[in-house]
Amino acid sequence: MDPTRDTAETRDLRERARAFFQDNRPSDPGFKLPQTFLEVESEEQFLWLKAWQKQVYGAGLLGVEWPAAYGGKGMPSGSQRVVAEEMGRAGVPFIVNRIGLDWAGPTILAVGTEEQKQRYLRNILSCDEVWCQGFSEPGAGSDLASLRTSAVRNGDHYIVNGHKVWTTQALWADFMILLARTDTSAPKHAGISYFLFPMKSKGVSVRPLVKMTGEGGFNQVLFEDVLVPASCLLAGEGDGWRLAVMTLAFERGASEGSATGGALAAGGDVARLVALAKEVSRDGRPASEDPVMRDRIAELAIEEEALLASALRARVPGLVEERPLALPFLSKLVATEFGQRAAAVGQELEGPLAQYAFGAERAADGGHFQRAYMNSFGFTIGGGTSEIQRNLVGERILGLPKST
Amino acid sequence: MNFDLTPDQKLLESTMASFLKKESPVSRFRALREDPVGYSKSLWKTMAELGWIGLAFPESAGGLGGSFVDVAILLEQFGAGLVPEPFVASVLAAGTAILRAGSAEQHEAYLAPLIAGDTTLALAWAERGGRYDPTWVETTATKQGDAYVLQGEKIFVQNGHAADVLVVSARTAGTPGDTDGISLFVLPRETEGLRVTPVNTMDGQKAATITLAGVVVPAASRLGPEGAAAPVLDEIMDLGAAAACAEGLGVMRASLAMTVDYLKTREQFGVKIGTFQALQHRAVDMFIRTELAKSTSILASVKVSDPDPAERRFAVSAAKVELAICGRYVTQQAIQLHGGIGITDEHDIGLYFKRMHVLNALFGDEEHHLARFGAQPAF
Repeated sequence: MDPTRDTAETRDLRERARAFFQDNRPSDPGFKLPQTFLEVESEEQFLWLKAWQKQVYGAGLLGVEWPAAYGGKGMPSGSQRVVAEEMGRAGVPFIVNRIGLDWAGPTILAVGTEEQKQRYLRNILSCDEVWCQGFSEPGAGSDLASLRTSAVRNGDHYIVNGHKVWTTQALWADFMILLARTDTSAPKHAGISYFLFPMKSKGVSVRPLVKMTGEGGFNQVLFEDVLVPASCLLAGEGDGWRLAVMTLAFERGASEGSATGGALAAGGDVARLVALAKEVSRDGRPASEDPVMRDRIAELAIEEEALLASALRARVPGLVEERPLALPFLSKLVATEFGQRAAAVGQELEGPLAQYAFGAERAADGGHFQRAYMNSFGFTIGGGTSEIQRNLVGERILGLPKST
Repeated sequence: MNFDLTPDQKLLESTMASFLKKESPVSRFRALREDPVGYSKSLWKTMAELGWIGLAFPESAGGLGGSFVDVAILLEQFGAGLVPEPFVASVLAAGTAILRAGSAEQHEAYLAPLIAGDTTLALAWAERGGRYDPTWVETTATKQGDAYVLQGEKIFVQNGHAADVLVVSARTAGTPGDTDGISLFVLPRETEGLRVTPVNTMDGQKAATITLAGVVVPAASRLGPEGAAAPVLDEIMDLGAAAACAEGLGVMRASLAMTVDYLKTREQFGVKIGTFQALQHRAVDMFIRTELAKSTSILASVKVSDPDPAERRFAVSAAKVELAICGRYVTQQAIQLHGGIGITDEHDIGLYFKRMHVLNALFGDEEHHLARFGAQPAF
């Protein structure tokens, strides 16, 4: 990143972050670490990453934009991004409690009661409590509002029954942001409520899913007559859809409030491609000296520049006046598709080496880009597919008529 | 890095937009395609009176001391309205050459009437063998006593067909491709031996081929020290490319707006075609490309004035590549989504498509800037 983009306020934070990540780069844990927060598959990995998050939080580098009353630093918007940039530059491991930090936390901050904020936020930052997200169901993917998991009020409790899927980190999560239907007679968007659901409750079972990379990370969660206190409800009954839209906006990076500063999706790392190009050869010389390969990387570098510049523009309201929210809206869509293309170019650079499985002895860069390429689809599908994102941009920003 | 416009710049933008909307609708450009000059000298004078030409020059040279960001705001409006007045050729190309290399007397003689809107200028730098390399100068300038004799040919001279004054690059030493040995000369249009052949460019605008058959010019017409003009030309290439990005952004925004309007009004199969998801997604991709190109164009507008040429080249080449990729996509899809009417001369969308085509070729195309970007040490 260009340091000239810093304000006086963020420069000090950047320097602190840079020094911290330089001096505290974790040593090799002796086992394979996952590439992103979507692929945490073993308790060993999870506990290691939890300790790393604690260390980063302890250094005052996490949740810096959140109010001090809830464990943050109360710094101006954009500050966390500076830390995220320095993490990216240092190439240190990711922050594990991403769903708590970027999706659940900002939603609780926005609409939670004072009691809920005090109860949950600090532990999200310190990673003492980990969160997962219970939105999608086997029958409710892009059509999320058709979800059928139910929560029936019974005195001071709700009784939850149903089935969630694609639940990242459910194996270790302490809480879930859960969408459940509280009113089956209401129109589909109106009957949904949003719960801060304790995962350790009786009647919850978690079944891991194996992805095409061979890794775990996603799970199915089944609820069988799970009894939870009524105080788990966030906002009011029937507010679930509104809050889900809010959480998804945080997830896309469309709203400020993230505690990690967000990051480009897996694979979108031009510096790593350049390093790979120096490692692999084409026509008897490093691929980095091959004009065709150079052009491919240069194109991606330019696109990355455009994405970074757009992300900065998105924070300047004056520049998006004519189409409010337009740029932030695009960030998820554009960054994830970019990450996918970048990982694919990594495969091209490798040539025949691209066949090696991740972790194979002779794989270039340990097979990073093979894994990144496959994992990139989790990002273009999760959090609303690219196609759903395009529907939203077409209707809400360009004002096109609703499709039939 | 500041991405926001100042209140003054916002005012400038709205003033320029409303003036050009009224005085330069696309129908004006459409009519001027048949005109041998291709633009209006009286509107040029008015633009000067509004201070737009002075914006690009420092106060020491009689200008208003604006920044390139101010100029980019203007050029984006030029793009959106297909305004054909020769701002880039006169002001950014020839004007910068005189400003950077010329003496105070030369500023007075050539920049003052330009800033007043009484003249237009042209810079003749490109040659047949040189593609986008301004150091590929085969044209020679041979010293003869107190004069130089110019011999050679210049192509794609923007505004060469109508300029009152031409700035010509010629080699006083060395061979084509050498950085050293290039000099600039300023020539009134009526100079003997200077032959101007107008050419039509694909977008309905005009340029010229200039032949210099033993043209004798006084030594006093040389701009700056002999043989030292390459850095000035290098800077002009970046200014021109950044200008093309700003103008291209206007072209893209207009093309997108016209296409979205069309999707909202055109009916087929009994419904607005904008209800079809295949077309919606295409329009969204046009929008994405426009926004990405805007981001890199802003970056180029800021960095083109950076004192470090490496910073300047990095940002400008990135923006020109992004313009080529995004501008091509947006205008191609604009034609496609308009359907049959899109390929007629009667519909304006084709005018925007053709302007983008020319902007992509001006001051370095995608391939040129991609290679240049990749050659930067920072990359």
